[in-house]
Amino acid sequence: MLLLQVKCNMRITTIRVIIPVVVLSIGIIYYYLAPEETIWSPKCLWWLATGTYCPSCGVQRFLHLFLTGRIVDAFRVNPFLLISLPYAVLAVLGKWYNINGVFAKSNQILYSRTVLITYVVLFFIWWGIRIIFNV
Amino acid sequence: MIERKENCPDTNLVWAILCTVLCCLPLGIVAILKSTSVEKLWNQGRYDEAQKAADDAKKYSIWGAVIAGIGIILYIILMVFAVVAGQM
Repeated sequence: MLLLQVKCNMRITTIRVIIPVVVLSIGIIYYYLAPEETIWSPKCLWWLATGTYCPSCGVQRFLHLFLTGRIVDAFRVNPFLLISLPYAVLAVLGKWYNINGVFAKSNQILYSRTVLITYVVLFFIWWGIRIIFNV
Repeated sequence: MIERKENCPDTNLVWAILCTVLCCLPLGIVAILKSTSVEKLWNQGRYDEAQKAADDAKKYSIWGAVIAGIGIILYIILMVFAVVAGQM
């Protein structure tokens, strides 16, 4: 039992170290990489297959614009990221950095069925808007 | 019974959300829907179904990430071929 607890703690500590490293690496890459100016920026599979934008299309352009200080332009690329990105960040913080229950309150909101269903509904509404208006 | 209630399985919601945001595949939404049902099923005493829903949430998130990862790798390989072919 104790061994299992130690293993679990080690896993969490490893994840707590890996996450900032990954975030920093992605940050450095997209600070310098302008997706519209390079062929090396991977394209969305949905966009390649259908020619329409998926709800998350534009996340790479968003990162580049955001990291280079063009925050308004960044959110113009994909306004849904105003919802989905903070949601994802809070979810990660709430899961792996909930030290002394500091994210207990936000976890309660995040994991509530109403919030989740709202997120899914908004996801599909935004998807529909993107397909219909090609935005 | 009480012991089992204390051990509600991890809903794997984080992976599902990250899948919708980063992998841009509808599989992430399926994963979210699965993970939302975990606690509900657990509270109803349907432990096996709750565990299955949690496992499914994880499975769909992983599939979403794997498909996106394969797509990225294939795209980069194609671009390398295109660049090499262009230089010939």
